[in-house]
Amino acid sequence: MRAAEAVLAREETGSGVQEIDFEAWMAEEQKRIFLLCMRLLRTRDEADSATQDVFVEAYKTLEKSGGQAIQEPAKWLTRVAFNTCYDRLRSKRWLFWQRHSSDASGDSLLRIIPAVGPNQEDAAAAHDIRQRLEKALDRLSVRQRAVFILRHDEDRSIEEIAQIMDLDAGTVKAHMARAIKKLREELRDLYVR
Amino acid sequence: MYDKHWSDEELVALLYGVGSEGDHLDVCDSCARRWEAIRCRYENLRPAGIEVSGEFLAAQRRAIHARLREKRHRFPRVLVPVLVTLLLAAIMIVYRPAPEPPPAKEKISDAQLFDDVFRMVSDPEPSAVEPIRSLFEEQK
Repeated sequence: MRAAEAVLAREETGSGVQEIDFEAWMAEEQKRIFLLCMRLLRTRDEADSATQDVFVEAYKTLEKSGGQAIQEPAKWLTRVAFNTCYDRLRSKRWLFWQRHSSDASGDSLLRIIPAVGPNQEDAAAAHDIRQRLEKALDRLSVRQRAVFILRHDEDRSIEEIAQIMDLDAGTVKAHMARAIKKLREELRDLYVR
Repeated sequence: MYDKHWSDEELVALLYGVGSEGDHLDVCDSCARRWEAIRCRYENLRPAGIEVSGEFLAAQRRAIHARLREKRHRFPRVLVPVLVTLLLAAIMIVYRPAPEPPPAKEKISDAQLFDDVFRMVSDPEPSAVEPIRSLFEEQK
């Protein structure tokens, strides 16, 4: 593996052209991509499998490109991850599974989120809100959820989200506005506290 | 003082990049304070502290490597239908079925043969003449 992967892409940087080692790049991006898949797919196993798909797909694309530079590799990888998850979410198998295990979603991500906060009370409150937020996210459409997660978790701008999801900025804003409206309704009791 | 402060909804919309932009927050202390409070809560909600174990990530990388190795050693799928077609063609050439024999003529009984021969002999004109003859008949 090591010999074959060698150098698969070159990235333009301020100091010139930097060669990207696939192994190092994967190690750097892996956690972020896994968490994004986790947020979109809601189950650890699916996210694990999707993350593997993402990097296999990325490797294949880089291999085909013959070392050509990929513009903004992190954003490009996010786009591959989004498309991978989106295809899964739209598949019949996934919809069937979702219908038959509606109770399984929601808590899976929370199991790996440590309670962080300045004190125990705040930590508990933050955990409570996150838990509610996770469940509320289930009620959004796939696109609304993706838009919200890319903004909320990855801190992407509306323009970046539009590029990642291959939508125009106006559509992204519309999805975001609907997502916020739905979440506000779901979390109303927390919101007015 | 301002007549109209921004609502929480407007501040949250701004937080997510879909709110109206303007200099209101720069000039309204009250809204600026609420904005900071909302931003603070937002930061607390962001999953920045999520930990995924190194073991899990290492196992995932091993699985990815295994899949890449498998892909490299796997026979190219595109060639499978081509090879199957070639194989079938070769089988058809080698084991070409023998041509079917012409259908056997119906056996005619002696009586029927005798009847046919008798009719041919007794008829003064061959049956092929009949359509031509009708051309020369006067129409009634």
